Amino acid sequence: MISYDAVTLKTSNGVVLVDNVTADLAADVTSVLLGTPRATRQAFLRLLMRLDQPDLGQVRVNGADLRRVDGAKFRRSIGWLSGPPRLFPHLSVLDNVIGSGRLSGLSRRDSTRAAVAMLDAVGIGDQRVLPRVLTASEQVRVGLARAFVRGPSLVVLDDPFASVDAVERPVLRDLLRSLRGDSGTTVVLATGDVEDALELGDRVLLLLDGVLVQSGTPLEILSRPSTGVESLLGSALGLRGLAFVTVKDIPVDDRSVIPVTATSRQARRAASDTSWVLVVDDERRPLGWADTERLSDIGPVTEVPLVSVRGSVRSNDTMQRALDCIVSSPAHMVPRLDDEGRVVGLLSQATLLRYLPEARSV
Amino acid sequence: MTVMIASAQSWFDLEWVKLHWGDVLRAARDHLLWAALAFAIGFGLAVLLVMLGRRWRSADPPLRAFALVAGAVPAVGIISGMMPTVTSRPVILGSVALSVTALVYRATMHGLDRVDPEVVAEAIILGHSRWSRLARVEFPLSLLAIRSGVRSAAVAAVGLIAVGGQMLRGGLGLMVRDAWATGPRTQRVVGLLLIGVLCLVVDVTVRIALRPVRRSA
Repeated sequence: MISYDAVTLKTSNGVVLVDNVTADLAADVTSVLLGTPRATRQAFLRLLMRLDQPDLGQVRVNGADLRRVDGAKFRRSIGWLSGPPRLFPHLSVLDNVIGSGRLSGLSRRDSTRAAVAMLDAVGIGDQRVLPRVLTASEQVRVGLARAFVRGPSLVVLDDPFASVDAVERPVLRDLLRSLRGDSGTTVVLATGDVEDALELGDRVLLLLDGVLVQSGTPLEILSRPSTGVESLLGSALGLRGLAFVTVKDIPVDDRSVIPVTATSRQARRAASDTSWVLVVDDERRPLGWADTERLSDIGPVTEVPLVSVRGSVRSNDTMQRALDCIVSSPAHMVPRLDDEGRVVGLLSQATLLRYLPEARSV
Repeated sequence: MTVMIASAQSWFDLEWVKLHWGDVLRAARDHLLWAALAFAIGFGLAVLLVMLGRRWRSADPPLRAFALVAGAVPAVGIISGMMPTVTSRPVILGSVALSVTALVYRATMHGLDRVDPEVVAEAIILGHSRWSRLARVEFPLSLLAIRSGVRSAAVAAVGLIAVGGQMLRGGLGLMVRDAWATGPRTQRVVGLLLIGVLCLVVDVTVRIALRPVRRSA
């Protein structure tokens, strides 16, 4: 548990970086400090890493007042990565990671073994090269390996993906999630990127000019944003919020699901909200959409070519994905599948819209 | 053949070399030993001053001023050496050592100053102590500047010992000086050549000894 108790920090010329902030960052979760300017976010991290001391208040880690701990010793126990990663330019990628392990107290042998394994885990094949030959994304991977090789209980990340193209960020977010896994590591991430914050944070703290304006889960923040945080969160908060609610509890309708052996007449009768029906095989796996308006009165449902099913959802998929599939589907419906890939029923646009208020109140 | 039977004023007389080879080697050995001694003293002092300058940043400006003055001391010493009665071997060796100290200190501090401050900040964040940061991050990153300073200092030590040869009463400098007015030209040539070779050998040795080695930080 990390506690900021009524903490104030000013620069030497009196500019307030942290203004009387009280906040608790829970252990074993990822807490994200989302805010502007970057100096404020960095001030929070510098206090946490005991690089600065508060002018007022105190910062505690697991109950211990950081003013009373040896700063260098404390920092050797935590993982750290900034964006862009500042790897030591005179050392190979492997030596950069080994050095981090050695500082944390590992023997050279253990540190080497852990470093090789960690670099493999982050996808760095050639570990003998100098950092300057790596791409920005690879440097972040090495930085993550350097942070996690210590097996730390606390990892501090300062805009870790700032140097990486937007297209590569989702992969790196996944990598961070997988490194953290279920190890129980507490992650504190400071960022100005709302996507990083919402995707990675179990809990998000919104900071504006050194003041903590709101904290909560990403869904809580998006559902009930405080006044003035729009500049931090950007637009389309409602749509973003759909990424945090699964379709598990939304009822589905299987009336418009028909077997491949059905006739045109049966298909027309099955069509309910729209003229489209979903044709499934003997095991209820989706074969395609059929437009009943194009079918004759007699003959099988397959007399016209079926339109392929471009997307489907399972119970743990989000409403955002479901909405995306519905918008892309000619039938404006999306099939929900069970774990074996069989069709449970159809989720329609109308059902999803009916369920939205409930989802936003979570 | 012509060289071997050349007169005393020949530029290179192999017979003279064969006849005085023992003396030449002795002079070269003394020269090298004195240069090594002065270099070791000067280098050790420079290391102490660098640690002092890094530990207490406020000590750095006066130390740099000291290094500037110390760099000029050999010249004063050598000039005063023109009057052998007021000089002695320790004075000459001390002044050469001071010159080494000045060169090494200035080059090292210059190199350390040029290390990227963000890399230094990263080392602090990762938990390096002051000395560990200096040894594993700052020194390796300023090695090129340090190496050039140490090479200059080592070569300067060999050269200054040659200039102070008369006061030291030995070495290749004295050998050259003795031969300058009336002695055989060969003695001058051999002495100067050996001083050049010693400078070259010392330079290459230091260069190899201080080549970059990758270590964990």
